Amino acid sequence: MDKVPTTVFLRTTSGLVKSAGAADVFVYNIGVISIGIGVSLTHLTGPANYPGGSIPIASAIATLLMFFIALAFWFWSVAIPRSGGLYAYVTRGLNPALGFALSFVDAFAWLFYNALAATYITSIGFGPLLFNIGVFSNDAGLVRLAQEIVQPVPQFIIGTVAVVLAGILLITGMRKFFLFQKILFLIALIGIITSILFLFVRSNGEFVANFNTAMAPYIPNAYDTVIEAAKTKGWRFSGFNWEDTVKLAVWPILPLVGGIFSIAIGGEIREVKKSQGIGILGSIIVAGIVFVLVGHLSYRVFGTEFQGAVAFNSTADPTKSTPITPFFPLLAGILAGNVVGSVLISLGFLAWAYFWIPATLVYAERAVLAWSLDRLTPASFGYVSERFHTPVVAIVVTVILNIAFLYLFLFIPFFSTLTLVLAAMLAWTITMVAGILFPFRAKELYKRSGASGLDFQGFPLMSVANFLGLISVLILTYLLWNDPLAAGHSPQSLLTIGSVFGFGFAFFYIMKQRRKRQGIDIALAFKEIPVE
Amino acid sequence: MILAKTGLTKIFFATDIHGSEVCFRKVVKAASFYGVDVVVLGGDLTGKMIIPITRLREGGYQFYFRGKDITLRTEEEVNKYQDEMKRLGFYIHIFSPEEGAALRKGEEQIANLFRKLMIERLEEWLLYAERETKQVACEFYFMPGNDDGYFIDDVIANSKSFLNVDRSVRTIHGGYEMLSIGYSNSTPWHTPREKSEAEIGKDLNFLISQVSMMDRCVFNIHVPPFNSGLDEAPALDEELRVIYGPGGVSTRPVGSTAVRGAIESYQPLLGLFGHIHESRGCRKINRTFCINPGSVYFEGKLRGCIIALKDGKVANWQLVEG
Repeated sequence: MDKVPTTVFLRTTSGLVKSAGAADVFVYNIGVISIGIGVSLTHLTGPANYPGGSIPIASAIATLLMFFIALAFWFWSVAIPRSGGLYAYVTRGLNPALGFALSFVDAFAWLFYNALAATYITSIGFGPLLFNIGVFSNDAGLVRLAQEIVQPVPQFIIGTVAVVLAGILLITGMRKFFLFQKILFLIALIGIITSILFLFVRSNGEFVANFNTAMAPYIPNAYDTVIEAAKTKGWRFSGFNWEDTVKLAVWPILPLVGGIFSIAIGGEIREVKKSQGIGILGSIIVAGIVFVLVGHLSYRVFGTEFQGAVAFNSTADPTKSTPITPFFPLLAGILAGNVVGSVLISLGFLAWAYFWIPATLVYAERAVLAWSLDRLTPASFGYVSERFHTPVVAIVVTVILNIAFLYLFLFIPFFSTLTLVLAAMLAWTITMVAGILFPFRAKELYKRSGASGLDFQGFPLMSVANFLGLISVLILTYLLWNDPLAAGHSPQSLLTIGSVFGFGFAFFYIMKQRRKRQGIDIALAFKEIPVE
Repeated sequence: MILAKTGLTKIFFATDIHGSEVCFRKVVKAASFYGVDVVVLGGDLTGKMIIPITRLREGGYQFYFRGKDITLRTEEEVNKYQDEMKRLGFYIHIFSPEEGAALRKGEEQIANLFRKLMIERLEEWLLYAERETKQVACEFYFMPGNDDGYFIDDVIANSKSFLNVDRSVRTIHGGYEMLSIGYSNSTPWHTPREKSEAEIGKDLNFLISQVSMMDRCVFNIHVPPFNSGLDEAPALDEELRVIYGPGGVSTRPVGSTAVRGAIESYQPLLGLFGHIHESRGCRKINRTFCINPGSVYFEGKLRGCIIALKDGKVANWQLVEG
């Protein structure tokens, strides 16, 4: 056979480049995963409430489930490389009204969880930071301050400042945001590496000694007392069992959900297949490995029984627990045994906690912007600042909503017990079903997309990935539905989700009618021009 | 002149289709699909890449496409790929290994081949447009952009359906006026149609002097106004490599200061722009509503916008992707 050079001829013309690369996407996603929040929540709730569960095994299960969900979203991001996340997917791939309603409920749910993240600034970040500095420098004032700032009013004030600062950052532009994310990532990375190093080099005996010293002003012989007190109150360490381990998997999987958030900025990513692949799948795998590793090491150093007991006591008998909630960075800081080590760890976890806030605002803001460009919201929502070239109104709207949710969460009991994660599961379930059907329902669109290049023997792997994703989402939904601690299915939560979803639908049709009167057919934004 | 004072004038505007056959067809079909009175296709009609397909001596064909070397046995199989390539805006040329070797030796031969293929495709498009627009009550306008060689002017001058409006002021449906300029300011690529800001300013002043009612005038200018947010492009170094900062790709406004100055001074009703594919959006500069629908021609999707003008005002607008 002839050997011919295979190349193409290019002429010099003006070019097109999209802004975010693989590293940006990876950092963005791992920021929303927030390894720090994931570790903190899993270690606080896991051993206390699922005594037979194994954090490393549960983390591995969570990573596997989330991997399949992520794979489905990766296919979507390649098939429809647009900003706006599942709004772009479902409106283009299935049905515009359904797409809007799902996007509405999805953005609502994540903004609500962003309010929760704003409280972590104090409970996972500043609280342990001040407490550990106070303990190791014998400054009782700092310890008292640590206890005070985790109260609702300071949490609201600090959380509001954090959200407003995130909004200001986003207004100044995506480049500054990505730069900020990278700096935060560095600080967060130092924090988690420092934690892992201390977990590696320190023994259980050293932790017990450090803990007893730190807690001496509050509980004599604290380590053993904490365990005994928990047992007295009915908590039991029952040894490993699979049922508790599977149940526990919802806790590491909740932060892993953040690994798919780059679907919100899909239109701003270059080399989508590669960048989203590394960003989505890579961030989930890396975070999963860290969860497994930290889980394994912390059992060895803190002690499985102690972790469960100290967390259990924090609600059942607070006088027999740490003065502030015993989140992982507090225990890791005590393990470090010195100011420098505990500050590095706490700053790292503060960075992890803050990571979530601007990134989730971006997720919601991009959805609002996409609605506006399709004329589903007032034109002002799509207003872009001439100075910064950013959608200022969309950002301000999401910031205000976030602060409102923070207030409701902290001060109104109805909202503090609300769990909206099932709303996201509903949105994902429908997106996965749409993903299975997409190569068959939107044949032309699919054929022209990068996703069709991944077909196996002519069969669309996008459908296979979405099927696997659907199974994973259904398993996760089952676990969440039956776990009152992680989600449950309280009437007020289901009613809120249904109301928001219904409002989304109603809003779509109201706007459609309104635009029709103005001479705009919203449906045109989603229709392909037939050429044959 | 009769002004449609109470009627609605609907304009569909798309731009930067860069040789994509399916996008051109969509532009033609947009008139009836969107029910508009005027279709305007902004600049950059011609494509950027030729895919050479080598006809092998022992039979079969070989070419490079989407990052892969592809070998096919029959012409039928090749045709399937050709449709996809045309859709994406690529030109195709089939030749023997000897012809290929000769062609690769000189830039001039490649330039001539580009010229030949561009002309052929434009001619095909115009025939298609003529056939498809006969029964359509709509005005069709187009113009070349900075990436289009001047040689295409002769080809598009023969169009019976689309009117080349480059460097002119025309009265369009509804009694509105449309001022059009297809070239751009200087680019790092030194593309065929570029002018200095001073020259653009001079041409603009000349054309503006022909506009009778600026408050009913549409500026159809390929290059967007400077620092309008419709002109954000990646910053490049001296070797035309994208500059990456710690926050990702560095971008900068690359629009025309002369165009911005003209808009600020004269405040026309509407500004239709293109050139910067990734700067899709709309802005207001004083009273002028400015829009750049962007372009994703390489996906075979046509990005455009529908603008409804009523009583000398922008009554409504909608970005579409069809």
